[in-house]
Amino acid sequence: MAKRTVSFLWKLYAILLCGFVVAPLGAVAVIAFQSRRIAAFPIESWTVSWFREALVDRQLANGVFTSLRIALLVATLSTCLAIVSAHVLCRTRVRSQLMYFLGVALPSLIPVILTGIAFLMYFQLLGVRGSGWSIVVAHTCYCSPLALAVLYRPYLSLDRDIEDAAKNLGASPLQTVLRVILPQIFRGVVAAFVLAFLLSWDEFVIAWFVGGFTNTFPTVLYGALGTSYTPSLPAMTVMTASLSIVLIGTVVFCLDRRAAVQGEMDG
Amino acid sequence: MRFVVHHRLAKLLRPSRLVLSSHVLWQAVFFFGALAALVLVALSKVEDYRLTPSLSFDALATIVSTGRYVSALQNSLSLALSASILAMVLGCPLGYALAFELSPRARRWVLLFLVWPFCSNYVLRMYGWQLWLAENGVLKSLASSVGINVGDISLLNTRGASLVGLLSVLVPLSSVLVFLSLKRMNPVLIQAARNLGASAFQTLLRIHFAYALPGLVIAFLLSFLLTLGDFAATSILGGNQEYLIATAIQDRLKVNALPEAAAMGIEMLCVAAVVLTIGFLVLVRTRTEGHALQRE
Repeated sequence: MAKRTVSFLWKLYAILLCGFVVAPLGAVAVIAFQSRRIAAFPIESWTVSWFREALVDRQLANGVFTSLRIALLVATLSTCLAIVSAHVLCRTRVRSQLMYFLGVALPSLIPVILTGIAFLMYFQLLGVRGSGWSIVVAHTCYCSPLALAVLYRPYLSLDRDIEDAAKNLGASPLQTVLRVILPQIFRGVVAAFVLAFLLSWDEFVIAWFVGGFTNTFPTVLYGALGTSYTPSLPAMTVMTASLSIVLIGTVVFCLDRRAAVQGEMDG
Repeated sequence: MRFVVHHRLAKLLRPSRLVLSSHVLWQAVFFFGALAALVLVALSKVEDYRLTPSLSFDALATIVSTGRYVSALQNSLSLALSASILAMVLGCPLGYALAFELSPRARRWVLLFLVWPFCSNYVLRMYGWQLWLAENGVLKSLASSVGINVGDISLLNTRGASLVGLLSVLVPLSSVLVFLSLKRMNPVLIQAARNLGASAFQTLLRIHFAYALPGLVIAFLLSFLLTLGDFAATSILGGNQEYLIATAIQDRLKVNALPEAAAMGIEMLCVAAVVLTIGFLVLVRTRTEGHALQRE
C-alpha cells in the first residue's frame, strides 16, 4: 500500500511541475480569447476577433516575417557549420576535442546578455548598422552549438565501412558527403535544423541588442507589452506556438525513430 | 626556400582544410571578434558623443568602484545563486522520477510537457506569468472568488516574481539534465548494493547521488549562467525593482556610455569564466569518481 502511495506522490509531483511550467502559456492562450482590450481576470466575455486582428496588424506581421526569414537563414547556416564540426570531432584527430568544442560552443555557454552586448559593440566598431543581417550572424554564432550537440551522436554512429567503400569505388569527398553521409544522418540534420530554427525564432536578448530598427517577433512583443498592448499579441503567439509544437513534434519523431532503428540494429 | 614556404602555405589553405575549419573560423571572426570589440570599447572613452579608441581604464575603474555597480553585481550573483539552488532542489526529484518512478509512457508525456513551452516565445511566457501574478490576474481573482482577501500584497515587481519566471525555464532544464545523468545507471547496481548489505539511504547516497552528480553540476552551472544573462524575466516580472547588471547595462546604453556598458560586459565575462572553470573542475572530478564506480 505504501508503495502505491509513493508512486502516486511521484506522479503528482511530476504533474504539478509540468503544470507550473505550462501555466504561463495557458494564461496567454486563454487571454487571447478575451473580448476586453485590457487583460483582466475573471474573463467575462469571449471572442475570436483578436486572431483576425493579429493577422492584419502590420507591425506584428513584419515582426513575424522578419523572424521567419532570419530563423531560416540561421538554421541553414548553423546546420551546415554543425555538420562540418561534427566531422571534425568524429573523423579527424584534433589535438583536444574539448578545446575545439569549447571554442565552437562558447557563445551558447556564456550569459546571453553578454553575447548580446559584445555583438552590439562589434557592429558599432565596424560601423555596421543594426539590421537583419547582423542578427543572422549573431544568431548563427548562438545557435550552431545546439545544432552540433544534436548532430554529434548521429555522426558518431555513422557506418564507416560504407564511407570507405564509397571512397574505394572512387567517390570524391563531396560525393561521399552528399550521397553517403547526409542520407544516413538525415533525421539528425532535420532535428538540428528545426531546433536551430526554433532557438533563433524565440531568441529575444541578442535580437534586441543587435537589431537596431529591425524588429523580430520577440522584440515587437517586448516593445508593445507596455503601452501598445492589445490581445492580438497573445493571439499571434498562440498561432505561432501551435506551429512550433508541430515542428517540435517532427523533431521528437525524427529522434525517436532513429533511436528505435538504432535499437533494432544493435539488438 | 620560397618553394617550400609556398608549398606549406598551399597545404594550409587547401580547400578541404578551409571547409573543415569553417565553424571555427566563423566563431573566430564573429564571436571572438565581438569579444575583442567588447574589450576595445571598454578601454575607450566617449568624447563629444563619439567613441574614441584609447587605452583608458576609466570605465573599468568606475564599474569596480562605484557603489551602484558593485551592488548590481552582488544582486545579480545572489539572484543567480537562489535561482540555481531552487532549480536544483525542484528539478532533482523530477529527474529521479523520470529515471525510475514513471512508466515509459508517462515519461514521454512529462518530457513533452517540459519541453513544449520552449517552442513558444520567451517574452510572452514571462507575460503569461504577469497574467497570473498581476492585480487582476489569475491568482488574485481565484483567491477572491474563493473568499480569501489577499489585500494589497503585490506579487509582481518582486524578486519572487522574477524567480517564478526564471524557474519556469530552469526547472525543466535541470530535471532533464538530472534524468539524462541518472539514465546511465545500471539498475543492477542497486540490487548489488542491497545484497551487500547497504541500507536504502546508503544506496541513495553512494549510487544514485554519484550518478546524478554530473547532471546536477551542469544544471547548476547552466541555471547560474542563464540567470545572469536574463533580462526579460527580471524586467517584465521583477519590474526592474532590483538593480541588476542587466538593468545597469541598459542604463548605460541609454545614455550612450558604451565603455561602461562594455566594462560591465567584461565583468560578466570574468564571472562566467570563473563559474565555467569551477564547474569544469568539479565535473572532471565527479566523472572520474563515476568511472571508478562503474569499474567496480
